Amino acid sequence: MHIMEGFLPPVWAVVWTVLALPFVAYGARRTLSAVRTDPRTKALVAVCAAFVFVLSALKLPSVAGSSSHPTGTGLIVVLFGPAVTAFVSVVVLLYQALLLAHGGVTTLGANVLSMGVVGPFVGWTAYRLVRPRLSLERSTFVAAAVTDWTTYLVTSFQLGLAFPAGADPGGVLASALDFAAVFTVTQLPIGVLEGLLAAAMVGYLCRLDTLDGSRVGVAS
Amino acid sequence: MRRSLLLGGVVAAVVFLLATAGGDLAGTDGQAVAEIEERSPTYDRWATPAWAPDATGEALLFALQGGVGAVLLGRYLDRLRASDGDAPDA
Repeated sequence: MHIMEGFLPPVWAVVWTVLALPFVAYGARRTLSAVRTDPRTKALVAVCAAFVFVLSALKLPSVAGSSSHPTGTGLIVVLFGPAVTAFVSVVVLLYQALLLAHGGVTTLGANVLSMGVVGPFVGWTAYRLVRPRLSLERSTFVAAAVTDWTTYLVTSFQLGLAFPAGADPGGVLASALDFAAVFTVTQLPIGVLEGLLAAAMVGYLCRLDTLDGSRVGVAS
Repeated sequence: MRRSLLLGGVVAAVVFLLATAGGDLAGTDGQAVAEIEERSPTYDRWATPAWAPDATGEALLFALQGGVGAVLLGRYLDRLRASDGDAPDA
């Protein structure tokens, strides 16, 4: 879902960066205050951030002959909400842009908005919707899968806006669907895998007695 | 701590193997770029990464990312396992 360096026209690079900035700033504040509350919360934030770091490094092959990787953001969405996710995503995306040439500095805003803001926000909303009816693990599965898939849909939409098939809104949509088709085959199973891993991690944290079930998801 | 380092080593190895095994597979990021170039052949790529690793370097840096993440994951899970979340040996 990394839009590569230089592959967004300057105007869109600026638009997405400006849109992402307030979420990242707010997320940084939320992250700092969460870290300050108590050592347990600090350790939980660290576990979440490390989880994103590990999962987003997994380059997974797919049957379609292409490869992609999880975003890893589902766990942090469930435990701390989308704001903290936005901040952690910036750190991971900067590492990958500067050291791996995956993504880029000019496309950082767009990538942060998909992986750190909109995807997590939709996943978090899905979590809130299903949580009253499903167990914590199952709700986390839903949240992580939805977060992953939405992230890639947002990327497709961003590329569709920048490279529309026609001048009208229909051209943007048609183009966005074409880009979505590139990601779909690989990302559908990866989203399911992400859901399973995030659910397993939340279940494990619960068994460690570190999570007070009532607090999960309302920490943000 | 030793367990965390072991976990980090294992994860780094797995990430490295996956990154090199998937080396001949087209990443979807690259496929998206191909789609852009087909759609807008005249598009002028106006920025390039200041520095990009070769294939092995990329796999190693991915392994570093996964390994460091796993070490931290193990360390802080150890802290959480301790009653007050702030174990001195962690």
